[in-house]
Amino acid sequence: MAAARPFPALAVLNRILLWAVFLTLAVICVYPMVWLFLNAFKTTNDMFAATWGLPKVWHWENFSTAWNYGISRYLLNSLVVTTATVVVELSLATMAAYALVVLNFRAKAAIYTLILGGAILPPEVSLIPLFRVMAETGLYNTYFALILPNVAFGLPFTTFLIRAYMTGIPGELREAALMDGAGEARIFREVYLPLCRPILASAGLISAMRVWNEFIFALTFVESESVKTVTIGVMSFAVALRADWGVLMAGLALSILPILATFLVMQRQFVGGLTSGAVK
Amino acid sequence: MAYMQIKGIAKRYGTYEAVRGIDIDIAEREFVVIVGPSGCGKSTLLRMIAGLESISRGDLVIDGQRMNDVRPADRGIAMVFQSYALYPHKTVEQNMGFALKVAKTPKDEAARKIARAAEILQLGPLLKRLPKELSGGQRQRVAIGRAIVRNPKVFLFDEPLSNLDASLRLQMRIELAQLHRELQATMVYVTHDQIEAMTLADKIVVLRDGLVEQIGAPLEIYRRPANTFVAGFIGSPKMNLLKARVTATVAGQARVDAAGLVCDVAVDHLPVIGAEVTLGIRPEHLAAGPGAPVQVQASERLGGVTYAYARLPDGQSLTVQLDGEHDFAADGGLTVQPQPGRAHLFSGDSGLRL
Repeated sequence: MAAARPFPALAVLNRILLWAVFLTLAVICVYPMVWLFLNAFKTTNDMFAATWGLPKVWHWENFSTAWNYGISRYLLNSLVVTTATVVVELSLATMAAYALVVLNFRAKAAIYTLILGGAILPPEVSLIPLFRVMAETGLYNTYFALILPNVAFGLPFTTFLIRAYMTGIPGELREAALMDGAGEARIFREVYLPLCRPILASAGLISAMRVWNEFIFALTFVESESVKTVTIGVMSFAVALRADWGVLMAGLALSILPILATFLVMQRQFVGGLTSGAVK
Repeated sequence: MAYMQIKGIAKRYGTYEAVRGIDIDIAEREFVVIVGPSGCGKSTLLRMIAGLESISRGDLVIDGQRMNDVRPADRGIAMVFQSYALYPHKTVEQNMGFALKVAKTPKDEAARKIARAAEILQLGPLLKRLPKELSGGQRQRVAIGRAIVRNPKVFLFDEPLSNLDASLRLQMRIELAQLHRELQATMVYVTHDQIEAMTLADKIVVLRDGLVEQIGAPLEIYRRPANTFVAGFIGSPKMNLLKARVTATVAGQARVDAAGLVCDVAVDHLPVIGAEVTLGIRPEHLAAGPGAPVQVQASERLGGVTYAYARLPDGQSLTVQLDGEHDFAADGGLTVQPQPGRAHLFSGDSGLRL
């Protein structure tokens, strides 16, 4: 087959170049993480002696130290906030998307534009008003102070994604279900939701990553240790542990592990969902 | 009294009227085929009967009850969609059982109904499969099965065979006719395919631009089309519609001449001598023989028959059905004569049958 090509040498060169570029990109993306995980096993002295090398002794205890230092609580808080946000956001977004796709109501286009418009608003702009609202309503320093704004700022994009996917579901399925006697709630639950599984997985993952790494709200709307999420927790950790870099790295490693694992598990769904949303 | 009455039904979208006032009476157990070119409003009419579109004007009565504002599911109607619209994530069994589940039918009764429908449609071995694992014909059968289990008063079909290939379409056509005999149900069937209309219908409704052109039994429409549109639409290949002039009349009969093709036609309304009329004559009612000279432009040999596409001396085109063994002259010349009593005459202005 190679003989049939006009310039096999050029083709090979092309391929090598392509691989080189991709490899470089992969290293740039992955290396910091590898570095973080490697140094999480070192003592501070080891780290300064050989920053790029493998640990001479694998100090597993760094992780238990970090865990006991309070990271467990931060992880739990992040887990609660992320899960709750994703669940609420997906529920609201799917219902909104369903209404926008199948129902006919007045000002439908205007409402959709309004929802999308929410994506333009940067969270920073609303920090002070939101802070006042939280203080007035007693939401300040609770899980809700993180869940509610995260849901609000995630809804536009999530609704957009799910709506795009739903427009690809043939309207005749709904009509067939109507003939079968089902109401809108049932059609939503038994026809649209199961068919939306791929996009729900991707939208959920995108939203989970966003919320897990969210910093500004977590910095502004909560202060006590019992509700701090891992991004803020790790920061205060860094201040307290300035001397012990190994433990600090272990804490950082722990803080990204859950979301990394989730991403790796759901990777296939994620890529599938993104593209199927894109072409519809 | 008719079982289902469509009384002056119309559908308006903004200022555009897709269906402009249609009256059809449908008897119980009748198989009615609504046929017409695309955009004639036939699917809209069916969707109004189903309740998927609101009725802008007129009344829909089924079994004595006005149905205009009744929910689709409560009209006693089941519909088979052109795309089948099977739920992709449900098995064949779940697809057929969905309506029963919604209606909270007891499990054993639902299972019995599904089993019976599966038996009628030979779907037994496929019950646990998903739609994507079925062929086109099997999906079609599941869609019909989903309608059967609901035991509806009226079945609606929206171009159900148009996604199938030719041989499967023929097979499904025969099965649908059988199904109609077995179920003894009232069926309303929409298609643009006049062969489906001719073969399946007890009664054909020909629609154009949102209005009824003619209602009648298939052969009645074939033999006595009400106007040039119906004449051209029903029958394959199409009826030849030729400009002609009336040369003589006697009681109930007119002699017309279309560029040399002379024909005596029985008429109800006698035209005046010299009037411009349209002579309708089907390709199968023309024969090679002493008569009008035509020039053959092209021919199709189908084996059993041969279609000759020819022109009259004045340039009008004409299709002639010839015997499969017919030999053409080298110069493409042919003389044709109409079979007596098979031609139709339409008014040159209105296109209505004379």
